[in-house]
Amino acid sequence: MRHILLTFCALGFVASGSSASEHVATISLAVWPESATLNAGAAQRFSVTRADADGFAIDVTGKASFSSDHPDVATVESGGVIRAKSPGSASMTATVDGATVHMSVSVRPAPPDSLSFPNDIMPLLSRAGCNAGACHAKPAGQNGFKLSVFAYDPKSDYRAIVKDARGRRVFPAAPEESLLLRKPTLTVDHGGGLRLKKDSQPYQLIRRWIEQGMPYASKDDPTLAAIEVHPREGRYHKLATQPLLVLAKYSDGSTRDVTALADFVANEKEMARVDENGVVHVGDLPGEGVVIARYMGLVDVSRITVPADQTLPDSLYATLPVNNFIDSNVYDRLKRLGIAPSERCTDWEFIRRASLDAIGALPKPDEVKAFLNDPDPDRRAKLVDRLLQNPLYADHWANKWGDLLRPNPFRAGVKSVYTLDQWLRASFRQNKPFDQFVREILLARGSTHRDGPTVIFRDRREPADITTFISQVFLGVRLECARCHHHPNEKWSQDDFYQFAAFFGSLKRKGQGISAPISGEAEFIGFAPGTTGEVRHPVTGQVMRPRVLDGPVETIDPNRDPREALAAWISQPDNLFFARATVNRVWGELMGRGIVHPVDDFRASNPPTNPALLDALAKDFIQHGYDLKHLIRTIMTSHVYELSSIPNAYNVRDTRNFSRFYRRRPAAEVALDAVCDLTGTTENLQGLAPGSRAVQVWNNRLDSDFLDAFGRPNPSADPPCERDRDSSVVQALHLMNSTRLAGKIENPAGRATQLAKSTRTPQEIVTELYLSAYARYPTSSEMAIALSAYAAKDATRQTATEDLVWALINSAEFVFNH
Amino acid sequence: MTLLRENCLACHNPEKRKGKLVLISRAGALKGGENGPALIAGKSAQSHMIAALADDADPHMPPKGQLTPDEIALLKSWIDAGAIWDEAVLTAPKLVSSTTRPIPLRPLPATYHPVLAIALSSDQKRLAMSRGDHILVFDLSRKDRPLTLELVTPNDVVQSLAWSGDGRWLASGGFRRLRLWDGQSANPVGEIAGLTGRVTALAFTPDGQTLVAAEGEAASPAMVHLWHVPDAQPIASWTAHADSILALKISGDGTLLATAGADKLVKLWDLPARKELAKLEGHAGPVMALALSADGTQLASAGADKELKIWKVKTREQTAALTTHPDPVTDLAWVDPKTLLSTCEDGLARFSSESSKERATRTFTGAPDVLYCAAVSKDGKMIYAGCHDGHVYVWSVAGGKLEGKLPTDEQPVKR
Repeated sequence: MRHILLTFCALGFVASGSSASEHVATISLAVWPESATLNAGAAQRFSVTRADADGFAIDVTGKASFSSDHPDVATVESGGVIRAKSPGSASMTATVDGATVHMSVSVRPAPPDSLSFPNDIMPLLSRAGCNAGACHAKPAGQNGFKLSVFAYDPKSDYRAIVKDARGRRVFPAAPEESLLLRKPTLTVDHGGGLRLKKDSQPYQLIRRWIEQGMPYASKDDPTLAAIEVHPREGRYHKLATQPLLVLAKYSDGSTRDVTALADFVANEKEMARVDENGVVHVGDLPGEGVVIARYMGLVDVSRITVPADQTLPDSLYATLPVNNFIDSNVYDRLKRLGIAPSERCTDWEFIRRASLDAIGALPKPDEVKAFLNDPDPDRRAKLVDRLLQNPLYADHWANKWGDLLRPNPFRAGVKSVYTLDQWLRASFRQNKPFDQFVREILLARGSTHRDGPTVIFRDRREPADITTFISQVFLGVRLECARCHHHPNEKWSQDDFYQFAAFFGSLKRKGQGISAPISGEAEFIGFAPGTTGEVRHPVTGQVMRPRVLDGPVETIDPNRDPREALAAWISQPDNLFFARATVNRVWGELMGRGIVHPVDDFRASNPPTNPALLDALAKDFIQHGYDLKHLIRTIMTSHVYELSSIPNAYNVRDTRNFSRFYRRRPAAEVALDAVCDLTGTTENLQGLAPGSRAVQVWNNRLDSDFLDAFGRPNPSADPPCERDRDSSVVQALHLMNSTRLAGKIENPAGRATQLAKSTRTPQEIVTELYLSAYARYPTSSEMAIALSAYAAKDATRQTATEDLVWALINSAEFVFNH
Repeated sequence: MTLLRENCLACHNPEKRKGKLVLISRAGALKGGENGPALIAGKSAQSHMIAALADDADPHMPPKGQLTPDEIALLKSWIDAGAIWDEAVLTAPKLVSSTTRPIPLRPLPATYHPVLAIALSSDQKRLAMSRGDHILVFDLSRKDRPLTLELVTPNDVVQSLAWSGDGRWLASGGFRRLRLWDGQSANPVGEIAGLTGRVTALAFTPDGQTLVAAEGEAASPAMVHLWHVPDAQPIASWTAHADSILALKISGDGTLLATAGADKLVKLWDLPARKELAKLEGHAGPVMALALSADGTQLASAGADKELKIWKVKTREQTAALTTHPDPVTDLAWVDPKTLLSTCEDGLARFSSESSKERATRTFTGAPDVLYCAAVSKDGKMIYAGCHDGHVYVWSVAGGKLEGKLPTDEQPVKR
């Protein structure tokens, strides 16, 4: 290992040395935006970057000298600010160290001087923080003045400012006397402090707007269509700074530099932070982050990459094994970041890891021995195939989806929840294509005591509740925010939310509804033709027509269940929402972290760490008919899955690019089954047949201190339930001190007693236990320590074996999947 | 000092005393509040103030902001240097009262002419409405409701209107100025100037001898003034609410004055004695509207919190809270002892009654924008509501139909 690392370093030195000598020769400048259409009187900053030979972006706007070929049309000053003077065209030139770059500007006549509330005034108030969640956008407003969160409802904000309390906030005959200006300038006391400096440009604009009679907007005002942040993506040196530019694009094709009015948030502040002027300050850590720019409900992101100091030679990546497309996609990423992956894991690590991941159980000693002795070079892939045929596969994966789908039995009814559970397990036993699985849920009809998926609609009764659930679980989009206001970090609006909800507007229920805590009777879920239910927009009161995310408004035949259109869309091959969300979730289960993380929070401001990998997985999933086993097999047979969990000097800080196996604690049920298997006992699980395994539990309400300690879903919470994946002191104490666990170790029918009673030698016993717990043979020093337990004073074969089992259970190697 | 003024004083002032801490004087800062001294001169590291400013402090100050590291460093070095105090900086903004500062009024934007006030003469024959800086009077005794007077208060948006009981005087309130007009000839009779802010509510006593006006700057303490009519001799003035008074009503016998304010309070006053009788608490937002029943026993109040409350005047007890409005309520009037007329920011006029707590008993639709003010004829047959678009909308109660608007599109008005 050490030898290989030294080789990397030497090569790295040579590589960076050669690139340094190229610097001088090639200065290539880039400018953004390359062209702009401006209204006379407007200003636009532009940014000049130099790309060096290594592909790093270096902001040189401050160093550049600028000139305009038509100063009568537009001037340009140092710092890259263009001022549009009069209609016409002009070309700007920026010069840095003898290299030049051009930008074209076309100037249009200034529009009549009429300010628009949504385009000109709201952005100022947002930027000043007036409509922050803790201030005037609180549900009850602040001090009688209420604005909408992030300006999602400009009409109601307009009314609050202009008309509320008989117009007391504005005073057009003497605009400076308006409360709207007196409060934030602290001319009168303001609990929110100083928000606006007197005579600043925003102050003047608001003053002028009041003077104009507080126009809302004129009919021909362009509407804001999109925002674009620049640079979208960049490689930076440590401690670099890069000013971001935010351009608003309007429906008439004009643009506006809104950098000064946008909000900026960095998602990895340690790696790169962003100040209120939109200047990114890169830290001294390698890695990746995004900065989110937000303006009037629209969001765009700038991706920031800071490679490690050492660039590793291409030859390193060229020699890595490529089992399938996953590997090449991951290596591409690692190469960009200067990360070397860990080594391939050992066979014994692989069989333990693969068994826990695929079937939620430890491999049996005989299986381990056979695998370790298998000379077949394809033995790992064949093991994965065998595991996917194991009956426990269905229970293990159905249990995972149970977290997402299973309602609280005390609400939806015990029998209903059991019916859903049976359907779930049957679906995974059949390896039902996943699009069909979801279609069966979306189109569920029938009795909650016979047709499993109907139970989901028994639990979630309002179209809005169903929308939140379906979008998060199957599309990976958390629409919940848009239920009440425009999503703050995404494009989703209330229209999107309620148009989606409209698919569930005509759902009908018959029979007894929820009668918690028993909900004993069946309920019938279905669709009755001609009885179209209405889903209304909560603000406008308008009846919403169904529309899928980013899709067209649907025209639904009143005799057909609108859910059919949604179900058809879900598995349309060009619908990447569904496939991406599903592969990401499965990837997260197997790799310890989603490519998008959290796995159900896809949004522009939370981008995937490896977009190419995500798309490749999604396409492969679609091409293979949404076959989950195919997906799991593809992931588990990749080289990336086989990587050791032991980090090297280059990837020790990597927690999201899959350069090593991220070790983790298995789910509570898997941990309990592992303890049972090692101790050779079974757990008496309430409501299940004797000898059942914990992964077969369908009711999180049954008593179990073990499952509670190891973070099973909170039985009272609504699905989808988050599991607590952290390790805790309670877990450690439980494994050390639980009397129930001691009972399992000492159980007369258990493995310790059986081994002690047998004729096996202590060496054989120790070997058997190591194979059971760790799927490996003990090392000679481990063997020596274990045998000393048998030789100790007062020790019997029984006590020594029990002590050894206890010690194994309490080791990190047992508790973790690694 | 400037940092303190801009970040701390809005709450830690002698009026609000948040956390019992007042940061006006050095002594106040050293004495501190609930959590002990705010600062220890010369020891920034042990000063609560510095601890509370840290990014991760709990409680964190200021509650809705974060001082920059430079600003905190400045405060630290100031404390370490002994916290030299300059009270003048802290109190400076208070000294420049706007009353001392003339504020010239500019012409109003052409599009801005809200009907903020409406007044029906007690003989039911004349309706006065404000329209930006104009006052229009219509003759209701004729079917075509002709426009009979148009008064102008140049550049000064009319905020409030009142007829004297005998119809002789019409009073109008504007910015820092109150005007008295001859109700018949429309000649200006007198003017009271030199007030501090907008005259937000007006009423005559039943004998027509006294004009009661509410006035003040928005977000500042508001006063009630009494003047003798018509010679405008001041009788009395007092500070009545902590923020603008948005409604004011006088009982039929002239003994009781009710006021409602942006400070969320309704107050009852003994008018002849000018003494506060009661504070009615319960509204969660500015109270915009008041209505005293004809017999003086019931008081209705409503406002930004959208709730309509009915109080027993005698016991000051709240007898009903109606949630019949989806948006702030702007004005109220009793139609009969059981029915209240209201105008609402959603552009609807409504009837509400105690018997129906969540649904209005009648709604009157057709106005295109926010309604600011309401009037109902004594016989309860006609409703008038002033709208943001510069018109008064008229409904007949019997048919519930919109009868028309004032001025009509055919009636020529100057603006």
